[in-house]
Amino acid sequence: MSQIISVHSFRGGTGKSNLTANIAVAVASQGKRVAIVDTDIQSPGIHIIFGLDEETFSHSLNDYLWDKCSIEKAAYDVTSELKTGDGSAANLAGTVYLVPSSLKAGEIAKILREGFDVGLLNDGFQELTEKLDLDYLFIDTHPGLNEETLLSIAISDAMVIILRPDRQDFLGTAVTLEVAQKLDVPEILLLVNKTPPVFDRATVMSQVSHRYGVPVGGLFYENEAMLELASSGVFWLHHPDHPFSQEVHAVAKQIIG
Amino acid sequence: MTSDSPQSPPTRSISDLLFLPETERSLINWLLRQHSATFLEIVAHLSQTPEATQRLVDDLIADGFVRAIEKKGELCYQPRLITRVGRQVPSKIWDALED
Repeated sequence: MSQIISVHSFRGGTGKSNLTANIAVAVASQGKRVAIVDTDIQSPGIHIIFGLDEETFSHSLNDYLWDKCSIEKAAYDVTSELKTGDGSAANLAGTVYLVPSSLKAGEIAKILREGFDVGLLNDGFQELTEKLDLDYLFIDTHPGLNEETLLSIAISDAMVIILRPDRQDFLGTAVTLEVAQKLDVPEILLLVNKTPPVFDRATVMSQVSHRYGVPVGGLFYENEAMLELASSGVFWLHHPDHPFSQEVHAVAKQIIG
Repeated sequence: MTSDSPQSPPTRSISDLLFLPETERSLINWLLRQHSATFLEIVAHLSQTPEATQRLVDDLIADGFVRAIEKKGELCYQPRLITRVGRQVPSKIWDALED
């Protein structure tokens, strides 16, 4: 049975899209069929990590929400686009699909202006799961709480919340957790990202876990190599032995369970 | 929440879900995951009597959270949390962006 994993952060800039891409591809590397839906309609971007741009995709989530195409038509098999650090094909054991949101200013404005049917988004997730025979559907969301975020929380089998070790993130995460608990999310995993190198891993993980009463699934340190990659690929494929990559695989293992 | 007309139930958004009592919220959340369910499936899910379940479902329909639909000749219930309302910004700004 397929699983819906929604990935959230209360504030922007937590590295949510990068972590979503890395974890989803790590899950696919275990022979799974995975799709990522970019529901961050207001500020999309995860498609950049997979080498897609406005010229390479003709349909987006926006088109599906405007009833211009099926959700399946807006799903791109990006498996062959995945490259390692030397530019060779990653040859994953599984498959990765991506449903991008439009990065055209006019289309973002149109969807904000007119709104859309949130129920259609829910139907689209189900249709995508069935048509593509998915094992996992990852939902990359807009930071904070809005209609799409609430829907993805409500329907998810597991929810990943990303935060930085920062007081504002701590307070915002408490809000997201309260909502998730109200919406009966079966499993919640916290990931601490962009941790300064001076922070001790065990101490931060223990503090975060104790504060929220929710398991911390992973802790990622700030790293130069990630900045250098600049969203031009999936980090762990470029740096398979990096501690960040090992942590990504550890999180993927927890998700596969 | 907005009112459609005096006759029709109010339009509900998913954020309205957060303000419902636990039983109602949990039922609609379950329906969202199921997409729809028959009355008997709802009775089984709630572990309540058919009479109590009927009252609960009727109230949720009247409040605009649930609607009855016919699916393969069977009466089913599904959540009615439909629209992400557009933003209120002066139209000249939208028009400039959509050009």
